[in-house]
Amino acid sequence: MGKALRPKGWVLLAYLLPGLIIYSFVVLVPIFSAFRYSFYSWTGGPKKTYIGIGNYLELLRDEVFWHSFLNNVLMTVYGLIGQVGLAFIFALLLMSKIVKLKGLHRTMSYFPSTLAPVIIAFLWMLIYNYNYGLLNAGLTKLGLGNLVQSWLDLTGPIVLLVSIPLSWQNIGFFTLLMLAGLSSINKEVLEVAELDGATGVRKAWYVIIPLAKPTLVVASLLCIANNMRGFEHIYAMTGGGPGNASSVMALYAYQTSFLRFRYGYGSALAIAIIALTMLMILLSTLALKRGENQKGGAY
Amino acid sequence: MKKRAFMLGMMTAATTVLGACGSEANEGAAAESGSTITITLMHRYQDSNIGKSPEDTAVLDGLKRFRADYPNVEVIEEQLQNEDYSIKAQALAAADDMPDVFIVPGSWMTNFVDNEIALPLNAELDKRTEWRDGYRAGTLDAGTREGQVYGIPIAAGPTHLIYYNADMFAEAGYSQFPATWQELMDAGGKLAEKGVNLFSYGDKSKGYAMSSWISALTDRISGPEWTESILTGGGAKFTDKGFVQAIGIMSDLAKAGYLNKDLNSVDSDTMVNYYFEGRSAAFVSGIWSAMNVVNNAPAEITDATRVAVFPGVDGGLGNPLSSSGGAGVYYSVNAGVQAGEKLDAIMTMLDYMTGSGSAKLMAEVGGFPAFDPGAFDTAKLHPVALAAYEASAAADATKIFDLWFDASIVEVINTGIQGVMAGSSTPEQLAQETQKAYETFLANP
Repeated sequence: MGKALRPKGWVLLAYLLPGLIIYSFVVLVPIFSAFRYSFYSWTGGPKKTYIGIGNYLELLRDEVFWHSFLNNVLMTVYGLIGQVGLAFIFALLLMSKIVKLKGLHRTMSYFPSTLAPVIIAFLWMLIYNYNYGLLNAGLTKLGLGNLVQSWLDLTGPIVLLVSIPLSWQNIGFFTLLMLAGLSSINKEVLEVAELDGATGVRKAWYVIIPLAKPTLVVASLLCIANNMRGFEHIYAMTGGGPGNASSVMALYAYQTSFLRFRYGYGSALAIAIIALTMLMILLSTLALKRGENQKGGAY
Repeated sequence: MKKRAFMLGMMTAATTVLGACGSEANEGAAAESGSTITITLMHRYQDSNIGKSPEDTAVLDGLKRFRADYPNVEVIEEQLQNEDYSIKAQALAAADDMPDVFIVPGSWMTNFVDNEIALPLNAELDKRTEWRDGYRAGTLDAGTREGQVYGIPIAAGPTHLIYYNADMFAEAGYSQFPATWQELMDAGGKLAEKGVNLFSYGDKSKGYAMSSWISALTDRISGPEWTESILTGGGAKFTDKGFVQAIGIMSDLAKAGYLNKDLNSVDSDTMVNYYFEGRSAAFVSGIWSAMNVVNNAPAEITDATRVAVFPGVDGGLGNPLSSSGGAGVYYSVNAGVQAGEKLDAIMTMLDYMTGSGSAKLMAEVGGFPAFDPGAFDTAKLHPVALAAYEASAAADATKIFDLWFDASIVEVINTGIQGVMAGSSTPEQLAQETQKAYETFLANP
């Protein structure tokens, strides 16, 4: 924009102000009040007792919280594979010549993203259902009756089981994101690569991935942020159970505040979640950027 | 990141918005009706449940009669579903913006009293002794703190009863419900051979195990003194033998495969449906399930259903016939309401909604009111409902843990019992976790 056309600083600020005010009230003020409440022992009424960093000391020793944090990390790993990874493969397939009816595939794969998380959760609860579920019925039909399980009662793979519906929901969104990224790659480059004999997997690995790296980085960061704040699916599917096996940080903070009436400690948990999520995103940004620099990519 | 803030932001935002709506409604109503008294009421009884749930039927009928008899009092009523109620009430309570009259579950009572949200009602009740003295023994207790009554009970009745299919037990060779745990486990084995679960069980929503199993079982073993000692901080521990043994009995049933496999992932509605479908020979639930069996079970299941309680435990200190029970939820009055005309109207309204008239109706449609209805017309009651009523009246009600223990302890047990039933932790581990939460609770200011 030319310097003459650029509005004055205070005009810009005035335009931003309404949005900024709303943002402050719904985001900044709650975060600051949560930070303040995190130093109190507060059971929900007008009475609060200042206890300094007591809540944070308890948090450091709280096994359930750290277990929930690990579940978030595990979900993020599953998400990176199941959402970003698969979406990339789907996008490549949709770009290639093998797949027919591309529009239909695109629409169908995006469809789950339009559903509310609670509906997704109920759908998958039916799929996992012990007596009537699609999964068990399918296994029985295939002669694998001995694998029939009450899936959501398993404590071992429960995080994987609740991550699958999340991938199912988000894969369409990430596929679209990838398609947009891939379509911006210069067609001529791809044609030249093909002339040079790079086809299929080799074309993807040596040409497309390096060129689509910015998109992949953005998708990965989105995926990490999404999974760190995961709540709805798990709340509806397992409620964090059995026991605390599938608990995640947001769910634990919710339960602490609203079921155990420990608003002060719940606030401390919320602040810890913000800090940990920021840390995760910072670390991954650094890691991704570093990889970028080593390869000398143009990003 | 915005979602993070959502957790706490919800509370602040919700209370601001809801609070604003509430007060506008109040002012508007008062302005229109001039000198009339306006009472705001928020509860979890719903018009759509009339005829289905005895409590909803009786309480709302009482409110209707009150409105007809006192046209000068305007009641601004808000009916919410259970879960919605909990969320909204907690948000309003945190903002100190509760309506005049509201529902308080027993486990919230300590918190509401400590935070001076609920009004002590002794002075008002002393003016109405006939009403006050009509409540069944013990039903006022969980709403009483240091001698002051803070809550008016609505329904009572045991949270632990066993509904069993007498035909199935007869086929397995039992003419009545097994009288010892050994016999019960044997019956479980015989039923399992036929592909039937001894009990169906559904604890997805967390809380079922505590109210219908753990409270009664622990009392069988430790007796009421233990519970009392826990409540008063008198030295009893959750790691004591009784609590561990009670959880152990439950875990044994799950390990033996006598419960449905999906016990943690189905809710109590599904649990009851499994019984209706003949997948299980019995289920453990409160008196509220009696009308469910009467109204919704296939005829042959309803006809075969009988009511029992858990067998006694060898060497147990508690009454082997007791069941956990007492009133579960209460009506409380906002601490901000001043004595006078308005409080008077509120008390009369509560009398209409929970007192003798309402109690009689509740009993007649199959409920177990906290107020003793005296003799009532039992002719209309189905035998299952009558059996449940009689078992309830005979049972020596012991304390329901989820109403008496602090919410922070209740949550730990509710969550931990799922792990035990799933086999991923042991009764001892759960006892230790609970003890830890209990010590944190005792140490907190």
